[in-house]
Amino acid sequence: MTYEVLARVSAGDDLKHIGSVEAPSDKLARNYADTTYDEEDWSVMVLVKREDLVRVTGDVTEAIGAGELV
Amino acid sequence: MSTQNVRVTGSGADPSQDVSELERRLVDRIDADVMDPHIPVSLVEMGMIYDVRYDDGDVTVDMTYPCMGCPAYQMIQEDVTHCLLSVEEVEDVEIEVVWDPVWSKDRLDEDVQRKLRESGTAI
Amino acid sequence: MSDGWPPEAVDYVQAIADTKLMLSHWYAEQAFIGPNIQDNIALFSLTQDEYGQVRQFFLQLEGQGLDGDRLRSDREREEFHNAATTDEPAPDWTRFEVRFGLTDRAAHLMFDAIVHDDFAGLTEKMSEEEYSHFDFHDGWLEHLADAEPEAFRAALAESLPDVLTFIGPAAYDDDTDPLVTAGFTDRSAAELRGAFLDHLEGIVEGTAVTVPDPDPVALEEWDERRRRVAGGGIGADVLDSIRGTGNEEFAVR
Repeated sequence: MTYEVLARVSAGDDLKHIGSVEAPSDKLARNYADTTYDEEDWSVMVLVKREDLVRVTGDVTEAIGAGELV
Repeated sequence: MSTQNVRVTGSGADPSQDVSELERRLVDRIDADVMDPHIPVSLVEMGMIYDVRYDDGDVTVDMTYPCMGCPAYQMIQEDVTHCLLSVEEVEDVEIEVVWDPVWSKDRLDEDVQRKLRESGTAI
Repeated sequence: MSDGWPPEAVDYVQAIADTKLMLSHWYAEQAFIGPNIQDNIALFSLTQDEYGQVRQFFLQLEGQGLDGDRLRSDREREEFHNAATTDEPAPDWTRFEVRFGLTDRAAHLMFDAIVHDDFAGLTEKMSEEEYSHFDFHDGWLEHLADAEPEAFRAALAESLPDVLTFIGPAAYDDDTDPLVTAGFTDRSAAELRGAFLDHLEGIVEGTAVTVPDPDPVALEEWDERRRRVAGGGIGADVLDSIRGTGNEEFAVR
């Protein structure tokens, strides 16, 4: 499964998409995201399964292909 | 952490015991000469030096590490020993690695935290 | 307690240290057995933690009169008191996690029970580091128990007796465990076994895996020094690797 990683450094900052991780379970995805994206002391980091993204406009597959969500 | 604070948390050392002028000078020397090899702050600023005691030429340094598996474990001790041996009054240096209290980032004052942020290091 | 160690304590600490030395070895040697790049990176990080902890355990043992050089580099195979689960590399990822993940957990329970003043701060620091080990191992163990129950069950049947033998015999309770009666630890082998098995039950909960009936480990068959019931130990090639025999010519003197 692919999980999108969103995080912010400080309270009040925008929550930003910072990358993604591939993992077989939520718990391992948390572990991978925590250790892969450790360049900041994030105040918030959350994961969203890529398959749970709800399309509003645009082509998500195309966006991923263009590197926008990875 | 400033050089004034060494021995505040020293393991086994009496915190009320005064730090001599020479001991303070030895801490200053470590502060000036021995940098953490990973980041641009000194061991003293990193809060890794818990105590420096001088007794008739013999110096004992109590120090700790943020990570037990520090790859520079031995090198750092050699750097501290080397820098203190360059002080005229010092004849011998003993390093005691201590873990009580356990190091935490709370030992870094704001100034040091700012330096780390500016160097792109997340603590 | 703050006075001298009871004689059994030296063996206890050496068994934990040697087990961690072997965990450190296999985490590095087999780092690429992990299925994802994050697993490979995690295992190298665990290697470093374990080795750092071994270094401190060896210093403690030196403080008890053991020869540090001998501990570090000059021992024969049978002088290593590592858990039997860590003698050999794991043949696949499921067995890697079951053998080494559970042994890592057992070693933590064991050192965390030490209450001697010599370990003040030391075991607290180690426990801090172990947090990342358990986040990683438990994540994998839970997933593997769920995704591959057959392979997990087989791996557990193979390794559980050795892990429990490492922790100690069930007959060692608060009244009979010499480390507890001497005040060196505050939890008996029986209690640590219980805590370990409770943890394991939690890992397999909701999966098709059940924890096999634990072997109590007969006290009269148990080797207190090596914390196992059968012989065996690391192989000659493993000893060469630990000693760095093949790298000697590159060493800076």
